[in-house]
Amino acid sequence: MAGGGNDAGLVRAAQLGDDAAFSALVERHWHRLVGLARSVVGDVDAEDVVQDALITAWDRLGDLRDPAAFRAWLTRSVARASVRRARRRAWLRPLGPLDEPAAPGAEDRDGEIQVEQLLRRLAPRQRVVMHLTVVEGMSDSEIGETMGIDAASVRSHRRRARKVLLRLLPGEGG
Amino acid sequence: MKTMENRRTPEDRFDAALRAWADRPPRLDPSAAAKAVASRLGERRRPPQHLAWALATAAAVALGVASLLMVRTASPPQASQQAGTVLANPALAEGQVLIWLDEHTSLHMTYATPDAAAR
Repeated sequence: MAGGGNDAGLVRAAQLGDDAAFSALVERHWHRLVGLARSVVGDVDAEDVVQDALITAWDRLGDLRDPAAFRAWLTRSVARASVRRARRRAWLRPLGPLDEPAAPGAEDRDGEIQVEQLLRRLAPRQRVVMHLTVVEGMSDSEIGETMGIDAASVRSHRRRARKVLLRLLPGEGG
Repeated sequence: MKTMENRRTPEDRFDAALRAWADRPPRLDPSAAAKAVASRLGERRRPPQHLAWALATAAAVALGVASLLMVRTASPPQASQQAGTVLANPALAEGQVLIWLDEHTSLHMTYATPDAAAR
């Protein structure tokens, strides 16, 4: 996944209204951000959520004082937008017998883990923590900064998420 | 291979599956995504259709009002003004007089000396 290498120059140009610079930033971060949104809202809504967050980011780009912090700032924006969308969808269409089989399979017939099914069993914030920990390899303090919570809360979210996952996943050798 | 896969802890297996699942290529490639976002930003900058209509209507009304005011300014005196009023009009040449008999009828006269008239 792309890093945030030389974002600062592009961010400064975009802050002055350079559309091409902003497009370059979108290209650079798109794949990574869709991955994050996918973990929180699922495959169907992920790209839509990221596009919305990018439009909002363009509007608020002037508020970003440190262009070098763009990557974390954008990640926070997408994480928040994803959590909001996940909560709204859960409220509109709560998980029930129609959405979830009585005994949801953590694996398919070939033994492949059904990631999306399992993530849906976690709270939206737990999904963000799991993604940023496992996929992006961020530290607890970095995740806390991104989510606006402290590192202890990050650990708590992850512990609960792991507990749910362990209950659903088949044990060793099985 | 399957046996080795199963020997890993459930946590490890889930983490590997999550990495692979999240890292799949998006439906839109980065360049197409950048174009889609730019296009949405462009659409937002253009005034919406109803606003364009509202602006056009407002412009037409303003033009109408301005025209009406110009016509009224150039109109003859109103009925309330006394008939036979002699108006000083800077547009008239020397020796010319314009008299409004009523709001529809004007009398335009030119005074000249016999010598000038003969010329």
